[in-house]
Amino acid sequence: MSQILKETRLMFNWNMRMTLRNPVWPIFGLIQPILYLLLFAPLLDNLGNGIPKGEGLNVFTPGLLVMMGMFNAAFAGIYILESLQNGVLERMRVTPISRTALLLGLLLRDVLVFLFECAILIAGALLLGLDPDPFGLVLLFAMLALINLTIGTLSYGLALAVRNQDAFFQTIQFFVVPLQLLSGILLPMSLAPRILRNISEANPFTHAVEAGRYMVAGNSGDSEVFLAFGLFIVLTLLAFNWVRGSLHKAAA
Amino acid sequence: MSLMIETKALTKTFKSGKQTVEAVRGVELSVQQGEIYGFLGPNGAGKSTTMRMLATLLPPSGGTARVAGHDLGREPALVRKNIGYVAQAGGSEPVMTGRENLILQGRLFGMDKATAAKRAAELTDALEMGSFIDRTVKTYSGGQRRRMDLALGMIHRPALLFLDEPTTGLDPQSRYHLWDEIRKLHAAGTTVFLTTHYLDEADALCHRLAIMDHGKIVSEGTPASLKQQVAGDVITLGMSGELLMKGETVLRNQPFVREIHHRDDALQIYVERGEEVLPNIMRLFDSAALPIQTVALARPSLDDVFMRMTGRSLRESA
Repeated sequence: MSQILKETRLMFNWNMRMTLRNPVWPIFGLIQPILYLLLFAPLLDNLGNGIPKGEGLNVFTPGLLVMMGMFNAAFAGIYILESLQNGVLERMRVTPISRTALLLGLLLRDVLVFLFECAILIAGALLLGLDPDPFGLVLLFAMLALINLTIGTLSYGLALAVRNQDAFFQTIQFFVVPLQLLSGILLPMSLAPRILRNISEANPFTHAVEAGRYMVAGNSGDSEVFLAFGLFIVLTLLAFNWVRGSLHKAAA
Repeated sequence: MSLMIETKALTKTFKSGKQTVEAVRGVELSVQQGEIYGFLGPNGAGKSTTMRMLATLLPPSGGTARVAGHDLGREPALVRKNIGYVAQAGGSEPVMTGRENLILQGRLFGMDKATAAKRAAELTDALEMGSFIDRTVKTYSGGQRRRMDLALGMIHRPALLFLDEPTTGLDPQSRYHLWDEIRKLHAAGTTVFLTTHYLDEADALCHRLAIMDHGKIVSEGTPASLKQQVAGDVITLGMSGELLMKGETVLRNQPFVREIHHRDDALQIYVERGEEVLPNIMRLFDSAALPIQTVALARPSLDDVFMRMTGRSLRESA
């Protein structure tokens, strides 16, 4: 066990050093959410219809963070595609390092970078008038980390499974956009017709966004919060197990 | 002398859709400690697949193997500790420097930071990489990158080093440089197992080699003994393609002819004492009124061995 921790730390440091040397992606990943915050969030204040006046940012920011966690992590697998191409993954697989450590070293780096992005975005939202419950905010960070972990793991798994850029991007487009639209990220699902609302109930991200709104509003004890954490813990474990298996088998 | 690699009926089949592809079909192999052993064959012959199985990257579909003293199926982790593997694609992280790559590789094999740094410095000297080791790998030339890959494979002083197509795509000077490095490794006691589709590389570097085609070893031995199997000389008569059949008819019943092969626009005739036979052949073709465009007489090469075993030229199929 301590061996895996040691190896995970080694790979985490290595991946982190790579990110810091060329931080284009993390910066790039912030641009779109910042634009939403500046150009879209102000519209919500005057929408009425389920959003109390002046509460626009409190409703919208959790959704925006969930969206960022989803999108940024969805493309994490690009690194695996590159590593299959340039032989890095294969070279590492012939060393005695544990597959779990290889994967954790990537995921933990991703989560840390993502939480840093979240902090920047929340700082921006606070300046614009976000008024969160402090404990709820801490809890929100934990949930966002879990979401990022789930999607990141699935993205690495997808890259290992399809091994090809086109198929990788198509699959992500196929899933991410409907999941986003049906999760009430941009506008609450309470605005949706009943059929869409029912479908969105089956979408884990709907519950994550709802839970995020409860946390920011100071209702962290709501059952929706427990549901979201439960869902994403289970999803993370399932995804991690799947990817670790395919790392064992992966052949280029 | 002990055996570094020993395989029994090693096979690999892939499923692609409904089709089953037999990539490796019952390879029997034994490589002595301290040898440079080569797999020669065209692309798709199963060389890399066999090597990837031996390097623990691909589970065999059948058969057994012992690699570096350990059973491939039961003790892959111990095999990994004792082998180095340099893939065709290399495997260094392009955005990091060569030295950083080497140090990480050392640590992946369990060295502490200081030991890994020391070993990286040793390899930098040994492979003369000092002038570029602290630049990021993506700035390296093909030859520099290949030396880097080799260093990565050697960081933990493996007893057995696998090199998959080590010089493919390199300019001649870098190739000769790399050959020297491989010879130095051998001199230091490392067993080297490589794949190549270059005849001159197999000839110059390997003590023993196996010629592989369609997933099978079709012939095995030292380069010299393989060439002796072909025996005799090769006369190549260049002529227009539609006359090849007629040419063969003229020669078929001559007592000095051992074998005749067709190439695109040439006949290859295997004979003993080519220099004595050649005037005869010229006379025969003259009287049959068959024009010959070019004539060449050659001692057997590994390509001729390949041709004899498979009926194809390696140069054409590679």
